Amino acid sequence: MTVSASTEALDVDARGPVTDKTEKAVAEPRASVSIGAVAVRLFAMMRERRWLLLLSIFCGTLAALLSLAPYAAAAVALVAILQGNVDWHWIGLVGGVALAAVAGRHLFFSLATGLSHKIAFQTQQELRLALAAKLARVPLGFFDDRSKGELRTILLDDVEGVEDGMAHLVPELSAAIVAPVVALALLAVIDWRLTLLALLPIVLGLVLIGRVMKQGEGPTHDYLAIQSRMAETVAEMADGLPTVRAFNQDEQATARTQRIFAEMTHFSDAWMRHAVVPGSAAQVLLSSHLLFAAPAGLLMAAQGWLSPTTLAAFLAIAYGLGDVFASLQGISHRLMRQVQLLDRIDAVMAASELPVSAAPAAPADMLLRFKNVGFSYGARQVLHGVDFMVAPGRCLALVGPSGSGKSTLARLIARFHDVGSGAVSIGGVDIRDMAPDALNRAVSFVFQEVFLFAGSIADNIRLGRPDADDDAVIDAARRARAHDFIAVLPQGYDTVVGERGLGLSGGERQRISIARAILKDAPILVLDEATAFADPENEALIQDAIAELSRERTLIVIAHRLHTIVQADEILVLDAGRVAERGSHAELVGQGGLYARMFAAHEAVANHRHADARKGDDVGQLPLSAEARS
Amino acid sequence: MKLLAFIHAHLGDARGLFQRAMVFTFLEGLVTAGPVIAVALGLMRLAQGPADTLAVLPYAIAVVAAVALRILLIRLAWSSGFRAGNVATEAIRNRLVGHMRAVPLGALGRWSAARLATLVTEDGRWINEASTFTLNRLFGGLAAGLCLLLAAAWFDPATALAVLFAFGLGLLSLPVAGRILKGVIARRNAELTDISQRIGEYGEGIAVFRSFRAGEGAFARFAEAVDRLRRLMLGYTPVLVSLHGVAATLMGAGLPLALMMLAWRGDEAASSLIPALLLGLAASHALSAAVLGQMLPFSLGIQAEAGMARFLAEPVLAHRGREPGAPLEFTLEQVAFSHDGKRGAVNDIALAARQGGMTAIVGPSGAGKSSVIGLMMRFFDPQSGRVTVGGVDIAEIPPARLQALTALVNQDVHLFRDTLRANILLGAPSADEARLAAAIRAARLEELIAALPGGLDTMIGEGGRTLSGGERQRVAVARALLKDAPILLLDEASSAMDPLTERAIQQAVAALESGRTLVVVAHRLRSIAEADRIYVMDQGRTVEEGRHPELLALGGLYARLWQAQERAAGWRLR
Repeated sequence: MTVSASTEALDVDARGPVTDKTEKAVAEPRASVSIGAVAVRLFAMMRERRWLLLLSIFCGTLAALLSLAPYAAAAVALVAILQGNVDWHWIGLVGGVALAAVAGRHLFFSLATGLSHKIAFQTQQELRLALAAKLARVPLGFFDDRSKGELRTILLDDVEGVEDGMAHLVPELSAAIVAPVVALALLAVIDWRLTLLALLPIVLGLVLIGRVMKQGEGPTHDYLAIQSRMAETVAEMADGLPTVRAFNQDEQATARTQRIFAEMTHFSDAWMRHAVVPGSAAQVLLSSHLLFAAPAGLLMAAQGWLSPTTLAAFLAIAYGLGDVFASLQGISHRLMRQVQLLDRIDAVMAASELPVSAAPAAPADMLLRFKNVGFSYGARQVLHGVDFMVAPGRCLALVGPSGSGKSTLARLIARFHDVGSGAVSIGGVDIRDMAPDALNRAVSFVFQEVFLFAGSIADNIRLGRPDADDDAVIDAARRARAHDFIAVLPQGYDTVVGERGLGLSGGERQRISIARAILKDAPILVLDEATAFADPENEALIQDAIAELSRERTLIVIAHRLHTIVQADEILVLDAGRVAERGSHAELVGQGGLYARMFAAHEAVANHRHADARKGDDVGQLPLSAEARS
Repeated sequence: MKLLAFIHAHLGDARGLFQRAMVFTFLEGLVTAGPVIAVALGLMRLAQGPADTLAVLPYAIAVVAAVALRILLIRLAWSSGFRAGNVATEAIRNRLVGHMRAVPLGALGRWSAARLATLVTEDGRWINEASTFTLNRLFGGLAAGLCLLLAAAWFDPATALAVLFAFGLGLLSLPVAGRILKGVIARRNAELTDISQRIGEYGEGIAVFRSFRAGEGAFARFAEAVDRLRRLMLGYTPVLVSLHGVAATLMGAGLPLALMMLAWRGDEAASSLIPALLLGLAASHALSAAVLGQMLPFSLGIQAEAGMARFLAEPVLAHRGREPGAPLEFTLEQVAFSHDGKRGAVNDIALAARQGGMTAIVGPSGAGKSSVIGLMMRFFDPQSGRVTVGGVDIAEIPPARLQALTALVNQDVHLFRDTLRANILLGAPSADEARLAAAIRAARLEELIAALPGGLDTMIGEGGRTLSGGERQRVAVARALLKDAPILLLDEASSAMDPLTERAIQQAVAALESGRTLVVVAHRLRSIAEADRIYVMDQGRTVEEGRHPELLALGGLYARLWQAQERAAGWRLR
């Protein structure tokens, strides 16, 4: 639920808020097209609760009708006074009824809004459940393309934002449309000639707005463009402030923002001069219902074509017309914001799902085989004809420069994506023909990024095997070298972790995730070696934990520190998505190719000493000027 | 009114324009009342007895003339007002950016980069909105309403009083309802955090839940949280919707109240009641429209101003214009510093980095190593003790001078959306081609540049070519080479890249190290084994110091770290 000041469309400034944003909503051509579409989509989402929706519309309409009461009461009183014989008792009653109507309007408007919210909350619940169910069916690779925060935002904030459209659409639309229409009908009953004259300024205003908008298209476009450029420049500057500060001797870095602010002023001036100021006349016209009707009414009354009583009643009701255009603008702005939210939600709902085999087959053993596997992300082919086999219990290391396809290859084993060509099989069964659950049971992943959910440490470890008892959990933690740090926590295994729980260090989180994998006890383990340095003592503990975990399992390891894999059964060297070299460490070093170069670099990195150059080793003095040195 | 004062203070030369806009807006407001007054007088004339065309013609003409005059005045008001508003907005934006450069970098930690960007762009837009549209509207609408109210009072004070009473009541209810709303929403949000947490967690963790075959349980917990959320939101709905629009309702009661008051008084019905009622109706309409219509942008403007004022109140880095002495030795003398004022990040630390030497800082993660670098760069000032360079407290040296003395190379490399050349030249904008080429060669960037389609003039960053972590590191080295500061602070990258890249970075950094005072925060103990002095930090304190052999012999934390590292280096999978 949002707290906005202008829930009351009728009370929107009678002179029409041509704000920055509403003007924009009207100026952008796609806006007018999609606003109707958004309204239709929102109504479609609420369709399930037809009766509540109708009730909400009924209350909204009633509220809109009641909102005309003060004007009608004024009209009645004016007529009575003009006719001479005033019955004050009657006028008092009219005033009292009008007062009750004002209160009733509030009641019914609140009812309409409340009902709409009820519908919105139910619809949001369905939307969230549908999204969550979808996330349970998409391939795991879907999550690689999105940051975790993105999905969180969609489930929480985007769905939350949709409420604003759904809950306010009905009450506001009825207020913006019903009240003016009824007022217009009343006016027409009183005097149709004057009604036409009262409409004339609105028509003129709309024609003028149309012309101004056409004329101002260029400046409006420029203005919108400079707005987004300014946002980019400022965001970049704020992001890079430490750099700006470290190097800003000549202020060249902040000069950029100064320039863009000056440009902003320039384009904003132009936009206002060409697109806003000329529209001021339209703003006046749109709210000047009296412009033609009042003078004509006076003259007609003088001529006796019209009684002054009729004229007075007409004038009072005419106020009830308000500024229809302005309130519709307000609603359209509100709906425009929904477009992006709905788009993001739709994008998730439209994601393709992981096909599930109708007649799953069970693998005979745990022989892992890649047969001529190719894979593309969209148009970019990231793996070409990869072919290998890992016998149960053996160790395969994947090595290569960043971007060579190591991670993608490893992920194909757990069907994060399905292969583009060729096949991945376990025990002779194509993994696409395995039941997802069976595949899941066969393969464990240990990534360097660790997800801990809000719950106790024990629950987090137990994720590996939900029915594990406390002893099994503690045993897994012990083997993952996590028991010692858990045991000294005040609440031990019951310590709550997760986003709002106790903060653990990266190394500690790593070891909890290893304990999980130990509990899960899958025969195939895929390990992405952490690239971030933990401090040396943590590092050693993690290594012990991994040694424990990988014992007696098939191991596929993405290696970053090459010395750790010198004993692997086979090393696959990937380069640009192809297997460039393969063999044992000794063979590959002997070949003198990419692996040999990488290994030599690795050794050099490990033995590097700072400030060696001072001893005149491998780097010479640079021809730098000495101006800043003095 | 703080908002008005804030905008007014930044108008500069446009102050006259702004005042003119306000005058025109006021006049326009008065003229808005014109048609109603004219037609009301006309009606009164008609009520007083038979009138011919000529008798009502002046009133008819007055209506049209007033509208025409309003069109003219609004145009005048808008053209000068917008110009003034844009000038003020630009001045405010520049002031904010200027302040970002003047406060300690540590203070910027309290203001995330994203928040600062919104302060300038989004909040800047609301200030612009307020200075161009909102204040004008509010002011003009109130002028029109009050003018109509005065006119109504002229014909019948009681009617005007009733309208004013209802309007005042509505106005008073605004802050009251606002406060209650705020309280209710705060209470609701407090209950909401836990549920939101559970809902968001599903999005973040579903991949992991699924890979542990725990997807169904997670879905059930999610569904339960979503249901709780719906019920919670529904529970608060009645109070929230009924509080909304209370002000509008009260303001709408003006005319009915007036009628009841007239009835109660029960006087002879005078024809002056006709204009009084019409004017009262118009006044009630104009006043509530002015206030309620501008309430949202107005309150957003106030919020924006409050945020800006808070940021502008951050104290800037002070100094006394002193020059550092010689030799250029960096010292920390009994320095204590903490980010949040409670937990100590650095505690009573003493350290000296000799000119031309290499000083290393090592220790477990979270020991406070990077805070020491931050203190040396004066990203923040210590709570006690002092940091000196060349014997002078760095708090007395002009910040720009201190900046010129030091170069920091760490893992965060910021590239601007510009050409690679401009990004490197940030180190020394006036460097000639020869110096640039030397820096590029030393930073091992030649190969990269040869592979880029536009060479040095290729656009970098979003929308252009993105550089890998290793390439970015080397750009940072090239910048630092060009900057050529005598003291180099090196915060080693804590994540491994592929060995070829990592080796190239090391060689580039080696070129940068030569001939400079060097302070290294190191993760690989081997790389600093030859440092002139090693400081071992733990939990914000220096627990050991000395040269490598001495520290090993000491058998303390350093020796333990060293052994752990040697063991890890010899570790093999299987």
